[in-house]
Amino acid sequence: MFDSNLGHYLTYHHVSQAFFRRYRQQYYDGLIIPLSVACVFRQGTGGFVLTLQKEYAIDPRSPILQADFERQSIRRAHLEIAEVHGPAVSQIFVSRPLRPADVSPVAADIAARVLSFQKEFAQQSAEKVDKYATLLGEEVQSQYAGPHFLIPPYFRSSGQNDPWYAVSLGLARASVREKQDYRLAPVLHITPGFPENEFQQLARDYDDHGFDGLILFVNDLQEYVAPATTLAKYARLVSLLRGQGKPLFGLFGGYFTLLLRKIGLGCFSNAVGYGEYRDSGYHVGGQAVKRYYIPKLHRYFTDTDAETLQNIVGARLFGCTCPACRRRRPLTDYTSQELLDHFLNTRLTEIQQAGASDLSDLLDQLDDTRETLENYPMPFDPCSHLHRWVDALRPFA
Amino acid sequence: MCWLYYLWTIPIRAEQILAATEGESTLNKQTISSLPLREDELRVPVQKLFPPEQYFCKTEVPFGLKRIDMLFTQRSNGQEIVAVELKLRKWKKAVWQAASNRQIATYSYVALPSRCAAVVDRQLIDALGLGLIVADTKEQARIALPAKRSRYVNKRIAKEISNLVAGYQHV
Repeated sequence: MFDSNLGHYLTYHHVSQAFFRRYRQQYYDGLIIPLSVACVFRQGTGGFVLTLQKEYAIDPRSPILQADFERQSIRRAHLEIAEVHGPAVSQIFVSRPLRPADVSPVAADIAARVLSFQKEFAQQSAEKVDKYATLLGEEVQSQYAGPHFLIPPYFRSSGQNDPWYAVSLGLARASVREKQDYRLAPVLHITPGFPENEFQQLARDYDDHGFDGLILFVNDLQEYVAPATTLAKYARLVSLLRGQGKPLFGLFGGYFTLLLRKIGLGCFSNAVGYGEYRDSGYHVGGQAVKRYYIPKLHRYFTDTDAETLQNIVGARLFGCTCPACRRRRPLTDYTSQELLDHFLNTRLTEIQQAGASDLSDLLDQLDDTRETLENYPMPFDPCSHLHRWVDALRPFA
Repeated sequence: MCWLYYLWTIPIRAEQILAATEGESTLNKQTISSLPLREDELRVPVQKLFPPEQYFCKTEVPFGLKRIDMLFTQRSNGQEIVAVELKLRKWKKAVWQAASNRQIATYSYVALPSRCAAVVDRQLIDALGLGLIVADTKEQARIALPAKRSRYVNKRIAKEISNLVAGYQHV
């Protein structure tokens, strides 16, 4: 985030270890490790991530603690997250969601505990480095680096009148006292409906010398579904925060977020194959669906829908020349690994192309795609999102 | 127009149509009650187009994240697979599903009740290589537009599904 101005981070999950191992050199600059994964698979995650020797940071995923869901659906990962936030939190969380009044009186303690976990992760999670060093062909180091930056605990807020807003700000400020020599980047976690007339105050509140960077997380912002007005609002927030001159990081995002780098967003992250958006209150696990990323449309479709689109439009427009797609076959015949490989190949190309073009050209390309697709028989418009993206970003071009 | 709107929006009883049109509907009570008003009422007339002597039939066949409403495989060689997507309204959704079905079916159809078929974009259906089945009553359907042979059949999945359909018949 601080060394690579336009870095691309991936959300780490232990099931994707093979992927991270294979592509570690070129395809991503760093890892965001969810606290849940860092806790539940602590030694495995530590062993693997530390020997990768990539930049990493640990996302506290605190908003799950404020999420209102049935307590019988609490999973081990949730309990571990609560545990790291301290006894005041874990005792309440098992019986009900956290309320702002639960957090405020113990904010300093929560901040200290969550940051301690991050600072001590490298020391406390290195039991398996021998195993992973062998696997990765690396030498075992006598000491492993801590996170590239620290992330304070944070909660989702819908505006400045939402009590969680002050709680998050308080946690961020309390974290400054605990950061030591580390860099600190608080998360501005807002709902899509956060009032735009409060952005100035938001920017002022987070214009603190103790914050070395800022992380933006608009809850559940599904870029290819969100209206242009919401996307434009997000873009204006990025533009406003950019004025502070601090590195800005988009915690979840797809191609639209990638384009925001043209107006001041620095790094951004997504999961491998998934995670271009996230509802921070989502508490249920789920089975992965096979999805194919159509490069021209800059979005995912299920493999069957992607194949149907490709059959209608033809491989000439929708075809991909990345190594994973070199052997022509139905998209429904791709393995999950091949689908992930294709996505990362495409994302790398997108990053490179976006870096080499100005925003106006990139938006023109989206317009061209839309116009071309108008000539094909379609029962629905598969690229309405492109129209909205262009509408949202054209004022900045 | 009023009675047509009612027919279009929700499945309703003949009495309701006549009441809504204050008895002015040109459809008589007998005709209205013979129209398919539920999606599963399209199955009987459609099945008559692919008789059991010639085709195995299975309903609700899983394909990807969705289900194909009716799938027919030819008894003689099992090579020909016909997929039919049933819909009372929202024909565009049916067209998209039918277009997807071309990945596993030799011929892919959309089946609609006559009142809905009257407003569909036949050019679109034709351009996508799909066929159109129109159900005039709960007992009778006709092929209004024959499907074109699919060029996109994924043989691996088609074989799996064909075996599934044939196996189901032998249980």
